[in-house]
Amino acid sequence: MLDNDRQRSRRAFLKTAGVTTAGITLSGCTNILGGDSGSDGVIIESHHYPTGDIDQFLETHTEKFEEETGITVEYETMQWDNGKTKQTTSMQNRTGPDVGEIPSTYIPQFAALDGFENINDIDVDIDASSFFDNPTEIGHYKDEFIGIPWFWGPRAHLSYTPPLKEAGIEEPPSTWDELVQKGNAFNEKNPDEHLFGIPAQENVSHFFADFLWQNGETLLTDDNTKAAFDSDRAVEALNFYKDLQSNHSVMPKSTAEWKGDARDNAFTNHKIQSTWASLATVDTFLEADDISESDIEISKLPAGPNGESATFYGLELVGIHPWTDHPEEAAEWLKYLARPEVNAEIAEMTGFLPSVKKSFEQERFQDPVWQGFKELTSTGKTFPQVDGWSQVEGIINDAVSGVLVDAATGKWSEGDTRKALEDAAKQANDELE
Amino acid sequence: MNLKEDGILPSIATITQTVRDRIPLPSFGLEDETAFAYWLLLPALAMMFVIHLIPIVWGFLISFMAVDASYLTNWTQAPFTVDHYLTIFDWNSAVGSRFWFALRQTFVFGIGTTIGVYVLGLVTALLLNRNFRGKLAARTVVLVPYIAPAVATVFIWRMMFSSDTGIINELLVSLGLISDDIFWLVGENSIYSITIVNVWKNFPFAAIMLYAGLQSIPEQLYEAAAIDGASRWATFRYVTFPQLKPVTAVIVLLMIVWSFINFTIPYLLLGQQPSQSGEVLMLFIYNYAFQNTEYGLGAALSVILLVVAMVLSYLYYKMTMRSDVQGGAV
Repeated sequence: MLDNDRQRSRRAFLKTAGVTTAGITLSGCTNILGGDSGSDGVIIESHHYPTGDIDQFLETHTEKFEEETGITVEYETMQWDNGKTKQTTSMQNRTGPDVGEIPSTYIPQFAALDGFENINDIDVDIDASSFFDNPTEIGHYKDEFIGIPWFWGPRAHLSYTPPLKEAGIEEPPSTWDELVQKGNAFNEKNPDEHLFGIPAQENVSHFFADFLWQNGETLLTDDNTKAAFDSDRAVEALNFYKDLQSNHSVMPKSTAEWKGDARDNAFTNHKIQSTWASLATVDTFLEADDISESDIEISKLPAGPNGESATFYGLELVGIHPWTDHPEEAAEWLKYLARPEVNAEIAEMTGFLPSVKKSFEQERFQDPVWQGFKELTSTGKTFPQVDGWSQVEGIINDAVSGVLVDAATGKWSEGDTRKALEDAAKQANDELE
Repeated sequence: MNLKEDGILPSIATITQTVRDRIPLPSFGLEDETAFAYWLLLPALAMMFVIHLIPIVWGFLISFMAVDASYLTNWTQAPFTVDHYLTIFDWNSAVGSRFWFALRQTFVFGIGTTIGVYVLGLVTALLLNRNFRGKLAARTVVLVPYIAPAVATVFIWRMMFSSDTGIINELLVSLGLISDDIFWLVGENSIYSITIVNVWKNFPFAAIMLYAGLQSIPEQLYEAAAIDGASRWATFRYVTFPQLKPVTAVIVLLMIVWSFINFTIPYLLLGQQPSQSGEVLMLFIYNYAFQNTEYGLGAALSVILLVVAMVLSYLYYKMTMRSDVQGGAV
């Protein structure tokens, strides 16, 4: 009896083993015969920064991507406070996620740590020419394609048109002189309001760079080894920026203590009728009040006497870490993110611009606001990709903010701007050495 | 041993003796009592060693090492260098010039806070020491700034200090004290605004300490002063104030040290990019060194801050404790 039982269980075991072996063999043949690729069941990890509704975007699209390819993407959103340290640690340990987001200002440091793979070395056909030119240039660091441009944020001259039309101002300013003239004209009719306002206590280096570029100057020399922001044109640019609040009354003096939220607040409460900001501010403006989109006008920033319209943009890229065991699958994920319809969605959910040119062909981007921003893509510039830039940026912030605050509090005197920029340039040169 | 002999709890001495009898501890040639005292101190000393000494020594070591982003995970491999200290002491370098200015501003912040906290605390304590209805409620209300969460209260101060919409400028204009709005959060005034908020946040601590000190001054001293015909001012000057000296010493010492290492109030009130006037050392170290992953440099800056705070504390302690006048309670 016991022997019979043993024989039965042995037979059952053999049967099960046979079926399993046959199953495995057949599934292997299916692959060879062109069934699912070997990527099926592969899991890749992707780390991102918390911009807008990025979590929602990733939740939707990792699911869609898995349905299409069988590749699972597990994502994590890092915090801005410690994300850079986390990524740096990961690069030194050569472990961590397969895919990572790259804020453009971190590129030199990440590249120095060999943190991202040259995408051209991976067998995947991502067409670099499908992206806008400016961000593509940033994504190619020292001749290596280290990340695909994901979304970017050029600042536009945003105007709320009804009060401007009431004041007889029909067009946005195209030059510095026009900005002053229109500002004075508006101020005469509305003594308690101002035409324009930008914050002086947050990202002030971005605005200084705008004025500097508009006046035909650069932040650093062409080889990125020395500061160039202490030239005559740079002094002229900063003095013009300062005078907008202290001499011409184009901007309220209180901008000297504004951060981004104070600017948004002043814009939504119509204390200022125009500003330089990204799409996110337009969204805030439209959400806060019952305002029609047609009352918002998006235009290029004005040009200075020695240059042309220029605007700062921030850029986020996505790259593949060299230690990944699944470079092809990671590249497939990047390729998916670069699809025009997917790229359009990330732009919409974060309040920035899509990096893929064809994304603008989507129906939702045909309105004047988006098209207005599209016009800015040719005038966009960003900070130099150089090691030590974050220190230099801090030095510029201090110098510019100091001049603006001194002007607002009546402590500025002739020569102060030049001295502030020269001192800052000297310190910046030490950092760049 | 029956621990509840005769229904009375045993004294500490009895418990101690019992422990000594049951656990024989080596005395290392010391007297039994002394050795046992050291054994009792051992757990606390061990904790202090782990929590305080190791990080200090570690920080001191790192301050001589070129630990930056490239050595984040293998900091022991970073080369030794004195460059951090040379850069800090070079007035012409970006770090050096900003460091010394930040140190000066930290002194202004520390001294301003200490004077403000002490004066306001003393006035409050003297008022609380009087008999009036609602004294208990007043004592509780006084504590509110000290116990309220800093994030919420400092943001309210931020709104109050706003140049065009803040209530402070509004009030000063309506009282006719100013005609133009004052910028409190940027420029030269930013050091005063963080000092004001720090005083407001910490004066209840001083008030409660001084109130306890006032309560412990012997009544006979006041009676003797009254018999001698001392005026109220003379009584305060020759009786109350000297008797508060030990508690004053503690408050002043703590306020200096706490102000030197205060990060929360400057950061919350002025933000990450304050005007130079409001950039105290803690904020500077955080902004310049740690935000830029320059850990070696950050450690060197912190070591100097530690030395300055220790020297100040030592000098003050020596100065106050040298005096013959000893007061009531601490």
